[in-house]
Order: sequence, then structure tokens, then C-alpha cells
Amino acid sequence: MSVRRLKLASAMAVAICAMPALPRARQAPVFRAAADLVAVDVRVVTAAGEPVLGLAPDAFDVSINGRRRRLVTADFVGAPRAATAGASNGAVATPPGGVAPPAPAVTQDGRTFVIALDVMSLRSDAIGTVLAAAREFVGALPPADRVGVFTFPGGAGLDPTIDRRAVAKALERTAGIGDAPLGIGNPYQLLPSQLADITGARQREPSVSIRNPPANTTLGRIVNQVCAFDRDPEQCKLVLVAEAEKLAVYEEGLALQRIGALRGLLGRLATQPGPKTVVLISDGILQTDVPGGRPELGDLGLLVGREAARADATIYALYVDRQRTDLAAAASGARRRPIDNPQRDSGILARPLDQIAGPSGGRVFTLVQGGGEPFFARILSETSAHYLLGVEPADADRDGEPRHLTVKVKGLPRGAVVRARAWVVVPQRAPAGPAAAAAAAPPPARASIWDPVPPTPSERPRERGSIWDPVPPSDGPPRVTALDEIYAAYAAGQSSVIGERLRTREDFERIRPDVMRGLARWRQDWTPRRAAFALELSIAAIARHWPNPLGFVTSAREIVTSRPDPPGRNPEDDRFEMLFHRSAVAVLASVDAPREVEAYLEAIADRVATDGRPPTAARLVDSRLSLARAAARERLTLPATSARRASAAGAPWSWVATPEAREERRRLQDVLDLLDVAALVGTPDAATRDEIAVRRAFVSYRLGHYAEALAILDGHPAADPLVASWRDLLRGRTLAALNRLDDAAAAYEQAARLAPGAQTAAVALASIRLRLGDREGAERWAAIARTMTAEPDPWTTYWTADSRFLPAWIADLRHGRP
Amino acid sequence: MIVRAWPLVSLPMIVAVAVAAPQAPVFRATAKTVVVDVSVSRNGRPVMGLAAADFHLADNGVPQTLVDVSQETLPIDLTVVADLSATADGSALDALRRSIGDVLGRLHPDDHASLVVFDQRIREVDVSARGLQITVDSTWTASSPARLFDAIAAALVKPLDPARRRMTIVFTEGRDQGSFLDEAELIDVASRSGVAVFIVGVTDGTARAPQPPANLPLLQHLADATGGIVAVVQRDQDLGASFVRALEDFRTSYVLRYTPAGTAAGGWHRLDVSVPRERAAEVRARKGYFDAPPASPRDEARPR
Repeated sequence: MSVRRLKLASAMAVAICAMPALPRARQAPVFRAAADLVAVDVRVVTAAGEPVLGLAPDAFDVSINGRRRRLVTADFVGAPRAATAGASNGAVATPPGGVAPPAPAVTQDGRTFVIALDVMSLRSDAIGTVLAAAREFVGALPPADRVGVFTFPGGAGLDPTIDRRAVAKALERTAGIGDAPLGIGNPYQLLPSQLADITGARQREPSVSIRNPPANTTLGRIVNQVCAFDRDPEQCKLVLVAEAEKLAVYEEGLALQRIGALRGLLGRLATQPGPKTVVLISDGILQTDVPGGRPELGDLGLLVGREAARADATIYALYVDRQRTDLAAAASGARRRPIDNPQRDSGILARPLDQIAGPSGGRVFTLVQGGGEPFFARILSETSAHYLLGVEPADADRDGEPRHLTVKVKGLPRGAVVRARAWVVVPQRAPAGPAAAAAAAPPPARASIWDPVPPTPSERPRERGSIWDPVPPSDGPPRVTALDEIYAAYAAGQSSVIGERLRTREDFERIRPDVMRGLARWRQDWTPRRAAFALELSIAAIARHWPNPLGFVTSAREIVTSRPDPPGRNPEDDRFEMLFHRSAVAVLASVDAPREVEAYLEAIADRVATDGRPPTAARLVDSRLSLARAAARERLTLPATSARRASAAGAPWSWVATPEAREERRRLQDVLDLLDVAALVGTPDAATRDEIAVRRAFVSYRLGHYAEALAILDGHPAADPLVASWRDLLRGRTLAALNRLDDAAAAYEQAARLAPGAQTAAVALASIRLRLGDREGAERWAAIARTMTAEPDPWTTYWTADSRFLPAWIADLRHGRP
Repeated sequence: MIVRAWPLVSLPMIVAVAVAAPQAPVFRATAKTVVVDVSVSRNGRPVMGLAAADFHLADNGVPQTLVDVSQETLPIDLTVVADLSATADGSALDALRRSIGDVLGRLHPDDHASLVVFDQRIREVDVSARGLQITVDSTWTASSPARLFDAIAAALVKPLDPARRRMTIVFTEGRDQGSFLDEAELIDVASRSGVAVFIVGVTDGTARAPQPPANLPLLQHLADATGGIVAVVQRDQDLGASFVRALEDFRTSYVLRYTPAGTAAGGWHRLDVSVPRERAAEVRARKGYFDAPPASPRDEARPR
């Protein structure tokens, strides 16, 4: 047994021993007068996390919205011990001067735990130890407890089950996709605090130039501080603010997506009876701590706390503090600048977790080293027993809305704390008659509790703080809007109507409110044709430079994913949805937005499997989309201009990653893994298989595996002329690396034959002919490169991936049901 | 002080008769002759009146005897390479047109000029037509690739006329996206091309708050490898003047000729050029030239 495992076992044993002794176990209380009382779980624990027993009902003081409410009952409820718990010494705490604790009631039904993994933040190299600790935590739970696994923002997972093996497998399969702080595409290695400072200063000093801001401004001082440690300070000063703003918007989107997924989880848990414990594991959520800075998440933490109240869920969060784990890891070699402030960065990332966990009655633990064994042991201990209070609400409380809850306990031992949620929802009194019966009827069965719960208009929370929903949907009856008119023409087959009616940005601005409301409305009333129309709006937005064009892609996606049938139920709609996702991803690829492609695919991960996690009945698979994911990741391996300059101490940048370029090589390996997924999921057609092979060969080449790359290319004579052209270009490059210059020239000539007049093949031939000493041949090909303009040049389309299919796919989407 | 050197010919060459201009010398040779362009300047001004005896040139470390040194006698082949992604608005495009017009107006009657523009496509523009017909690709957007590396390579590989000197002026912001060639391959092509590359790097800075162009180390590397220079132009500075300065700098450089002796044929030849009597002057000479079908030093250096 490893040291880590021993530590966890020991911690678990302590936790289990801390569970109340149950010499005379009795049944858990059947809640009395359930129709009139509100159940409130309260955990009272010592500083060490041991439950405090023996509290009498008059020790509790409960208020709703600041008004004291009568406490009718206070029962102490303990969980049955795990089969592996072993003997207990009955170590429990009692209040000073307290009475001997009564035997707690034991719930026999088992509790519900959900392990929620924020895979977008968790780093692949660090998640293993945490998941191992989580598996042991699950093993230490009593057999009757149900455990679910939920990965987000994708939303895939395992329904709560008592099958421990299934849970262990689900945890084993989970992979983190987090990257360096602030993710891929952060060439200046900005830290959260620096991002907040720059965007905050930008907000306060809007008139200051963002390119090389003057040193006597706040923005200039911050930029100078950060850029002083860059390899090219002058270039850094030019672009840092723009990079920071771009990054902040992107991170904001990611954070909203992740919190949205968490809210979705709570919404689903609300449909399940009984209290639940959510164990949230995350590398943190970025929210500015500077007024006016970004990312700004508003009061979303508060919203999540309220939704936890609705779901009767307590959230315990494990914050994996990368800032300090990297520092703690002796071998990490993480570069630190004197201006870096890891403590502040940790605080920034942990704060949203605290805002989420605190109001739910849980708390945040910070992991600096190891797998979080003490955290899991503490959860075991804290959740081993609780007081179930029966509170009598006032009539004014019965409105079905979250109300602020306060629970105080008198006579606590020193250091003991009370954990209770900060919000309570008191249902309205049930009406009598058939309506009551209907209301009491169980919700329709769903394949999985992770299936989205279609919100009713009245309960649908407003998307407050969303960067993409600036105009909230109108609650009134729909009226015929300009959008409706344009759509009516589109649905009637006039596909050019968008371009005709919205020629200028002013045209768009005039109907913008209608568009926003209309798209939001369509989420409640989807049709395939509407989704196609929304996607075409995104293409127009890009072409016409409307604000936030990619937001239209998100809106269109939300229309498709709001369809009532989950994936797998309606083959016709499934086909449409898949083609839609392909097209949407192609739109993003066409504007060179690989990070948005990844975010899009993450957002639909509960519907379409593209990341290697095994598909479930509720998830569709599509090798083309998996390939698009790999292509986006491949695009992200290309260094920014600034990174190129910094490569190998100023050596010219090369496609081939040097052994020292470890980060680039790791990313290239990620691409290979994703290409493996694309090859294995679904049933890739021949063209897709060929493209997977060609891309795999190029990545192999870039890793310096020339022979392997050549073998792959020689084994895949692609039928698609475009892919065949890529193949021949890359074959030429690989042969040149193997010093087979004549063969390389022949391969390039083959590429030129496949795409006559293509400039890339001609440039490659000019280069290789020059190396061969064939000056005349080189000059001939260079002249061709200067004068021929085949469209599209195959190499240009390599990086825009599936955008080459967009016209055909959009034409197909237009045939969707209106 | 600016120092520049430019080997006109980088491949083994049997120099035949070259008579291009009334003042141009006539060379007759039956052996391999290497032509090297050398810029000598002091305090930013060209040093004039130097003779063969004033230069010291070593080929792979072996001192060579110069057979000829000339200045301002051979006509020039000028290629301007213009990055249209650096001209996102109309005024920038107009400034570029004017600058190219200025430099073309400075050419002598026996000089030649050509223009290559690029964004995501590379295309040669006819400079003989009245008014430069430079237009930005209508499909170009901020996210369109600007194939800087591929475009420079395509522009550099042109027929060499031993009776003419070749220079290229590249107007760019320094950003590349979508090229098939990488930086190392571009440097390789440039080293073999026999063309001096002058870079006019444009930025969004101002004279009071100057900024460097993107990818400045690469641009500098490219100029150094070919004997050119990099001129950085801020947005409030005269673009045309930088074009003209590049042309004049090239025109006033010396052309050295020698027949390699005591060095093995083939491969990469390192060049060292100095002017011992002008110790305060800066002498710019390219690092070397390729002879015969070589094995690129880059190939050997690159990981397998």
C-alpha cells in the first residue's frame, strides 16, 4: 500500500471512528406533520469535524428572512456505518454541560452523494491522485448510500447507484482537460490577479491606449510590470491588454458555462427526494476581485446557493490549489516572477467555490498536496450525523421562493461550528382536487437523472449575468417581430433573406432586441429550421462584423439542445442535431476560433461524445465531430508569434518541436490521443479515416517521428483530392526531413498535380529545388507561386478544418422541419 | 552605424560577359566567381572611395584575393514584397502605394522593378501599368492568414543576372499565419537566394512612443542572413523615406568579386569581411553562401 493510500485509510478510520456510536439503533424519524413543517438539516461539528451530539431542541434558534420561527422537532440522525468501518470507540463530542447523547435515529434508505468533477479546470497530470482518494472515499461509505458521478461542463456521468464498482469505473474513466493557468492561448502567462488588474484598470481608464499604454497610467504600470519579464517586452506591451481582454471574455464564458452546468445538476437533483451531498472538485473558478475587472460572474454564486436549497443539497468543494501545488512540487520548475502573487491568485480562484458551498451549508477545503484525503475524511465525518429540525413556517414564508435561513445553536463547544444552508424554500400550500393530484404526480420518467429537466416558464431562472443574453425574454404573449418576418421568408425557402434584409450593421442594430428575444423564445419552442436560421445568422454576423458574432452560434446551439427528445429518441432529429453541431463547429473553425470549438464540444458533451469518454445511451457519437475536436487542438499547438520568437533562445521556429519544447510536445500528444478517439468512435467514413491518418502523420512529423509519419502517409492514399493534396505536401516535408530530397520533390509535384496552380505546392517545390541545387527549377516553381492562384489552396484549408464542408452542410440544414 | 554586406551570387557561377549599363564593368571569367555585396558606413553615412586593397575577405577562414571592387555601377533588380494585412484601412494602403511609387521613381532607367503582394494569397502586380493596381483581397478579414514566409520565399527565388544586383524590400507587420514554410525553411531559402533582403517593419507605435514590429528577431535574422537591414517605421513616420533609404543604402554598397581559392567546394561557405583601415566604420557582410548541391546545416541541426 502506498503512503498516500495509508494516509487515506488512516484518515478514513479516524472519520469513521468519529461517527456516533449506535448501540441501540432505531429507525430514522418519519417526519411529523410533513405538510406543515419545513425540514432543515443542520450539522453541528467540532473544529475537528466530529459531530456534536446531545443538543436539545431548545438549543436551536431558527429564523426565516430574519423572523424567528417555532421549532417543533429536533431529531438527531446518524448514517449507518460502512461495512468496512470496523469498531468504533464511540468518540463523539458533547456540548459543555450537555446531557448524555441519546441514540440517534439511523436512516436505512441510504444517502445520496454526487461527486461533481470540474474537468475543464482539472489538470490531467494532477487529477489522478484526487480521483484515487475519491474512490477510497466512496469505498468507505455505507453500502446503502448512493453515489453518482457528474462531470461538467459536459454533464456526462453516472446516476447515483449503490454499485461501487460502477462508481470506481466512472471515476477511473474521468480525465481532466485543464491546462496551464488560464488555459491554452495565454502566451504571456497572465495569472488570474494580473488579468483582473488589467481588465479593471482598462475599465477605469477607458481612454488610455491599449497598445503600449503610457507608464504614468495604472494600465501602463501594470503592463510594464508584467512585460518586464517577457522575452520581448516591447511586443508584449503592444498586445498584452488586448490579449488580456480576449482572455477575460473567454474565461468568463467558460466560468458561466461551468456554473451553468452546476446549476443544471442542482436542478436535476431537485427532482430526487431527500437530502444530497455534492462533493465538488475543481481547480477553481476565475472571478475578478477588482471592481470593474473581468471575468465578472455577478451574483451567480448566490444563485447556485439558492438552487442548492431547492435541491436540498449540501455542497462540499475541494479546491485544488494549482498556484500552490505547483510551488510545492519540487520538480515542477514553474516559473515565478517577483510580481506574481500566488496567495491572491488562490483567493481569486477559490472565492466562487466559497460562494457556492457556503450558502448550501457546506464549505471549501483547499488541496495543496496529495489527493485530498483529509478533505474526504472530513466529509465522511461531517455527514455522518446531523440534526433534522422541523420548523414551522409562517404563512408569508409559503411562496415557493428561496428565503434566507439562519440557524443558531446555543451552548456550543469551543471551536464548534453550525453548518446549515443559508436558504430555504417553503412550498406553497397544495391546492385540493385534481390539480393537486396532478401537481403531486411524479415527474415523467427520464433515462437518467442527468437528462436535462425542461424548465417550466415560471421556474426558469433568468440567466442573470450571462454575457450572451443581454435582453431577457419577454414574459408577455409573443408578438410578430422583425425577426419573425425574416424567419417566415426563410422558412418559405427564401434562404437569401438574411443577407438581403440585414445588409448593414445598422440594419442589424435596428432589430437586435427582437433577435435576442426571438432566439431566447425559440429555446422554448424549437424547430430544426429555426435552429438552422439562427446558425445562418451567426454566419451573417461574422461576415458583416456584427458585435459578438460567435454568440449567435451559442444561441443557435441552445435552440437545438432544447429539443424535448433527448438524443437517441428521435432518429430524424438526432440526424439533424448532429449535422447542426458539425456545421456550428465548422463556423467556428472558419474564423480560426479553436478554443471556441473546444468549448462548444464541451457544452454538448452530455449529448455527443467526442472526448474519449465512453458513449452512453444518452450520448450520440460522431467521428467527424471528434476529428473536429482533434483539429482544433492541433490548431492550438501552433505557437503565437510571441512564443515563436521565444523559441529555443531565438532560433528560427520550426514545425518540428524540439525535445526542450515540452509543452508543445505534450499538446501534440493530446492531439494524437484525440485522433485515436476520432478513429474509434462511431463509424468513420473513408474520407474521415484518411483525414485522421494525414493529421496523425503530421503530428508524428512534428514530434520528430519521421519514419512513422511516412509509413502512415504511404498507407493512406486518400481519395478526397483535398486530403490527398495535404497528404502529398506532408509526405514531401517528411521525405525532406529524411534527407530524401528527390523523393520530396516528387511528392510536392504530385501535390501540385492534384491542385494545379496551388501556391503552397509551388512554394514547397521552389524551396526543395533550391536545396537540390536546381536553381532553374526553383525559379520556375517560384514564378508559378507568384502568378497562379488556385482557390482554395489546399494548405489554407488544412487549418480551417471542416469549414470547407460548410456550404453543403448549411444547404442540408435548410431542409430541416420548419 | 549601419553595416551591410551582400553576396550577389550564392551558387557556383561561371560568370560570362555581363554588359548591362554604360558604366558597368565587363567581366570575363572561366572560373567560379563569387560576388559579395558589402556596405561600409560611418555615422550612418556610406564610406566612399574604398578600393580592393582596403577590404579583407575570408572564405571559410581562408583569405581571398579580390579580383574586382565596384560601387554604384551595376543596375539593380528590385522586388518589393508588400504585406496587405498590414494595410487594413484605406489610408495605409494609400501610403503604401505612394511609398512604392516613390521608390520606383528613384530607379535608374536600366534598373528593373517588380511587386509581389500577399495576404492569404500571393500575387505579382504589374508595376509598368499606369498607377499601381494594388487591391486588398475582398475576402480578407482580420482572421485571414497572411502568408508572410511563403510570400517572401516566392519573391526571392528569381533568375539571377550576373550583370545586375538584386534586392528585395519587404513591407510587413511581421505576422505570419498559414504559411507552409517555417521560419527555418525561409531562412534557408533566403540564404540560397542570393538576394539582399531589406525589411520595412511597420508598427502602430509613434515616434514618441515607438514600438517594434511583430517577430522582429526573425526579421533581423532574415536581413542579417542576406546582407540587408531592418528599418522600423512607426505609424506617424514617413513610410516612403524608409523605402528610399533602403534603395540608396543598397545602391551605395560595394560589390566584391573573387575566385575562391584554398577552400573545399560545396556546402556552406562562411564569409568574413572587414575594412582594416576603417576601424570606426561598420562593415556588414552576410554570413556566407551555399556552393553546389549542399546539405543544409539546418538539416543537420534539426531534430530527427
